Amino acid sequence: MIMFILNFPGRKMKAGFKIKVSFLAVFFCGLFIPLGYPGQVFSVNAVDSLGEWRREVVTGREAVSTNKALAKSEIQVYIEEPGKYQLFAYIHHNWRKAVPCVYAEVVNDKGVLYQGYHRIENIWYLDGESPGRWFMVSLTQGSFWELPKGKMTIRFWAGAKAAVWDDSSGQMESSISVDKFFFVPVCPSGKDSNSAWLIYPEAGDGNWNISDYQSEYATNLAKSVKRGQTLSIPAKVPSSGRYRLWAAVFSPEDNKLGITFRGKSYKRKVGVDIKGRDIWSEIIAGPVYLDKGECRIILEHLGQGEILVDYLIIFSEVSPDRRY
Amino acid sequence: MRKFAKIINILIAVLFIFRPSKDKAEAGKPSADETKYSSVMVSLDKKTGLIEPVKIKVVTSKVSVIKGIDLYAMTRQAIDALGGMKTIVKKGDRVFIKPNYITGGLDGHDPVSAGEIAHPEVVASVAEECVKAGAKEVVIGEWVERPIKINFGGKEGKDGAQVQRLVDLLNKKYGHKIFLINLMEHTTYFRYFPSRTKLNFLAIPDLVADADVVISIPALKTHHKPSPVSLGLKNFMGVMPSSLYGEPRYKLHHAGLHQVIVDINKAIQPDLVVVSAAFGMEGPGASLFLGGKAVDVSKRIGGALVIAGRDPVATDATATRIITKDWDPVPANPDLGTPWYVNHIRMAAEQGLGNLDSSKISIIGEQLDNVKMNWERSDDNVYPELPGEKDESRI
Repeated sequence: MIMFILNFPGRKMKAGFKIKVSFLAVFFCGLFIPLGYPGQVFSVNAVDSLGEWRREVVTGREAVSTNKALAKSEIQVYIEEPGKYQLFAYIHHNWRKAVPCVYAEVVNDKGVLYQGYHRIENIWYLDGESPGRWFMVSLTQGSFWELPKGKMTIRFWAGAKAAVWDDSSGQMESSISVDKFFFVPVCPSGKDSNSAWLIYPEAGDGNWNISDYQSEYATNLAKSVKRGQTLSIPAKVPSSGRYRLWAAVFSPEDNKLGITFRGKSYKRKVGVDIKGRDIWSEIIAGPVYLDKGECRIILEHLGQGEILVDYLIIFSEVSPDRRY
Repeated sequence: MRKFAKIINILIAVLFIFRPSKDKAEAGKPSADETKYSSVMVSLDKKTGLIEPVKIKVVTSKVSVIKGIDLYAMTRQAIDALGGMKTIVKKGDRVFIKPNYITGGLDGHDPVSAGEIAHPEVVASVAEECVKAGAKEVVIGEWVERPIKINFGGKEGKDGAQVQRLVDLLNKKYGHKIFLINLMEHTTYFRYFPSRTKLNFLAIPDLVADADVVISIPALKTHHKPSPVSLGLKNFMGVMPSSLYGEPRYKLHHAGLHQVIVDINKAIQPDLVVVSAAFGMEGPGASLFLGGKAVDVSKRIGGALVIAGRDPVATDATATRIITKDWDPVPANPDLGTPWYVNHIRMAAEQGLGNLDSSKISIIGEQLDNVKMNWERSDDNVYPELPGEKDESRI
């Protein structure tokens, strides 16, 4: 868009004016990361935030980090579909004694809508050499947040507690990093509601290598190094409908992943291209129509070289219901 | 003609009594306030000779208390005394078993003899009974945030997961029907159930919420604040996602742990509780790390115990009575006893989850007086939890 404006062939548009227009376009179109339905992105990269947290690559992930208590950063999002959401964050730490605590608040033009936090258990159980661990945690206080449509800001900061049961503040032992935020909708399903959780590839069967803890990437993951290798992961679909599959993947070179959804009476296959990067990235597959009940998600390596999968999420295209 | 009317009425009554129950998955689990502990009786109208089906509240809940050495057989006996697993598990059912395995062996010791976790033989025996009754799938699970190697007596046990070996043997015998899993890695979604706490709703993993039959297998334990005992009802704290509620679930503690325990049980509606009591833990409980002291039950009463019941409140109340012989104070009404001063057990009874009153609990097997023990209570003044007191969390 910037290039289009800058290259606009009008004589009357001076260079300075073109630049101003470009900035305005960026401001209005790109400042807010849209979240919503159908088929909208529901993850937000923390590196798009502004503030005191610094950008860095942490165990292969682009993240923002801080070792300063109460240092704040914020990121702006646009909620297209109002409804109930859980706010998750993928967080890394390497603390052995103190308890890292991450706080978040959602703010719009009416002020602070919600505040939440999560204390993450320190990783006393990992050996001293390991580079810590990534955790997916909910920053939502209460069961969910009911968010209105419109632009809002996620403001986040970190702190330390001396112990899980101790409310008094402690010393920041080292850095805390955030890779992504997820707005996971709480969807109505018959009489009740549900929300998606992660699908861990290590729950699967097949000829991918499963690792309960891979120190290079500080997480548990599944790895395929050869074309044709498959991994069949059990999953459940809460209600029939159209779903997309979100996955955290790592592939140093351009690659292709086949994803088959196999239920009792259906089999649907989609292919996803992975752009080669030396950091973790995300892919979104679908939408596909899935029947309620058990299904298998079968990953098939259709390219060359290695593909790593950290976690997957299936999310419905049904818009979250505001009524309860 | 009158005879014919009588026969017709008897037939109607019989059909009413044995009417097919609605499929649980289709009908949805009954609400906690429904008369789970009710049954149907027939009464004869002497004037007309007509038989009327009458729905009444059952006054007693059965709890079996079996003492012995062979835990595997004792567990089977305890279940048989309740009518057998076939009265609980139907052909094709999906069963979820929640053993208390979440805390144990954190220092690399054997968590079984330390009394920290349910005995693997009790867990395996229950799982086998489920398979024999026709279960399609038996999932034994906990929500554990730590790496899998320290689950289920992994690092905790001397040689890795102790129950895994028994599960492997059963799977060889019956086909691969029993799964030992970490709920964190096998949950696709959460289902939301109402809560009376400020949380308003609780998120329960699909494998638990959607199971046809749910069974709790706690170890017999006293516990530190905020609960004097940790048994079948409290055991379900371990299915709650720490990714949402924190490890160790401090957000649930903040919300008011006692009501949270009741709400989880209302949502799950456990079908059976089997208390593993070969070894247990007294004092602050939960784990050696937290100051709990191992109890070898055989050394106290000459044999191990298995306590089982379909009423989770009655089972917990009975187990509480067994280990709190000389605890004081107790309520003036002796039928209430020490369980009345355990907040979540009393609240569960008050909210219709089952019977706490000893006059409404029928004990099968050992007489309670023969197996009552005086376990050391936690030193943090957690007992008694008096009615009306603030629902105090640990933090």
